Amino acid sequence: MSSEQEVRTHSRRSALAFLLGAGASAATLRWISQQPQEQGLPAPLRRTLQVNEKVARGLLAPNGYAETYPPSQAVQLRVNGSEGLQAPPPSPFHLTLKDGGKAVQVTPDELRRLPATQLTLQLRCVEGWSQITSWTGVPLAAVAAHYGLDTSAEFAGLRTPDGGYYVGLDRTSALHPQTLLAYDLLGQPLSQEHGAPLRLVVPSKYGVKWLKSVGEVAFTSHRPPDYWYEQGYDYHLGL
Amino acid sequence: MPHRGLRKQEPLRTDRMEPEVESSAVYVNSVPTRIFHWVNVLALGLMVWSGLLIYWAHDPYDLQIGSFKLLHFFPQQFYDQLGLGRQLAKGMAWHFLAMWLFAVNVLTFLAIWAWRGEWRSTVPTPATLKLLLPTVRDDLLGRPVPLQGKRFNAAQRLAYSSLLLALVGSLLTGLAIYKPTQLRPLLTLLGGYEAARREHFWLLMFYPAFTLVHVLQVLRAGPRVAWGMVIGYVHKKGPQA
Repeated sequence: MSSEQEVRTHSRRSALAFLLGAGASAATLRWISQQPQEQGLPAPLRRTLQVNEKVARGLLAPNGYAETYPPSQAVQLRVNGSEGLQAPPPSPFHLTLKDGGKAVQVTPDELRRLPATQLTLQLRCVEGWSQITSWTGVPLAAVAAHYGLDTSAEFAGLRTPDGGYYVGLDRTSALHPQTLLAYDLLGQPLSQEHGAPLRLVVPSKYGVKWLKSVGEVAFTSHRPPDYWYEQGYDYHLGL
Repeated sequence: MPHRGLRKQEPLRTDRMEPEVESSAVYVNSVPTRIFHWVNVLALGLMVWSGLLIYWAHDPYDLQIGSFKLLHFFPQQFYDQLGLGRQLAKGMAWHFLAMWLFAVNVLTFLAIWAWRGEWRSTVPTPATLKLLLPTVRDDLLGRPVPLQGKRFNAAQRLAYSSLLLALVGSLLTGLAIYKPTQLRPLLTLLGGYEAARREHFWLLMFYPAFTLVHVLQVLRAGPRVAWGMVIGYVHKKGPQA
């Protein structure tokens, strides 16, 4: 049983703790939103995304395989962005592959002569929608190996021929066996709006990383710039 | 210090409480319950707000009967009035910060709740189902509500169990769409990516419904009962409304 005195002491302490907690919470939320921006986000939110990335890479298997589907489930892919596609792709088209030391020029036709991989899987957009569709191409790791690129660097940076759109990937994602340089969508050569002649397919990431019209792939030890990262999105965006 | 383990966040009617010998106050909400309640108000509030910032970017769900669409979630007015549009990046960043607070709070509370055996007074029993309709009817008519055990009546048991279940459901469906490849078995269990997102949305819709009823009941029970979620005690002073 509680005495009147105990009740009063406990009540007073509880009320005080409640008010302090409420005040501290309000102050913390305010503090977070008023911190200097870092790539479009208040710094503490940016820090949190970096911590989340570490957790996701450390705790969970970072190189799991995305689910694949029978090709019959593939649908026509919606067109959802044209960043970096303002100009038609240069003709003739060259893909530049780079590592720390060298650069190699490759044509899409040369890639078509390498062993092809077909993948039917889900593209997931940061906006929340997803679509199952079917891609044919060559794993980026196989392309790098074929042309003798040094892929020991921590990152890969990809960009459109005009540099209007660019993404950065961690090495694990770039060299994942499901990461393709794709040239066909649903068995047909890519249309210009879907990124002709070559598009990155990287199922371990949201669609914003699936660069259309890949003009350059560079393996680098510096973290490459990333278009949507600069607009306030997570850099990692790992699924 | 209070040592009787009555711990729950509900407007208990004081006229149903056991008399105390030395104090007119009845200890109704334990420290873990109160911490859980208020941290959950904050964390769930942040999750719902940032979740709506995300949902705005792709908002496909409707309330419909058969093929007749009653209501689209959400009408443009809703986003405009609440300032929820065009902030996807911000929404994602806040969502993935507040998720930590939300998850730690829910999981810690559930562990304590299970450890102390409080689930016994919360989860529905066969009697709950039998008493549910009479309880709701009597409550709506302002009549004394049939009690089921000392702690919660049938409607409260169902409401609080549903809430806890929904919170866990939100956590699981959220994790599945957050890391669909890394947590593939979970995603499969939930029926795939599209299904998990739909489930995550409909669980979200449970919270405003719960909160509406909850707040109305607290208002009916009065400020002394509401304050009991802060100080733990409800003072018995005269007849309650």
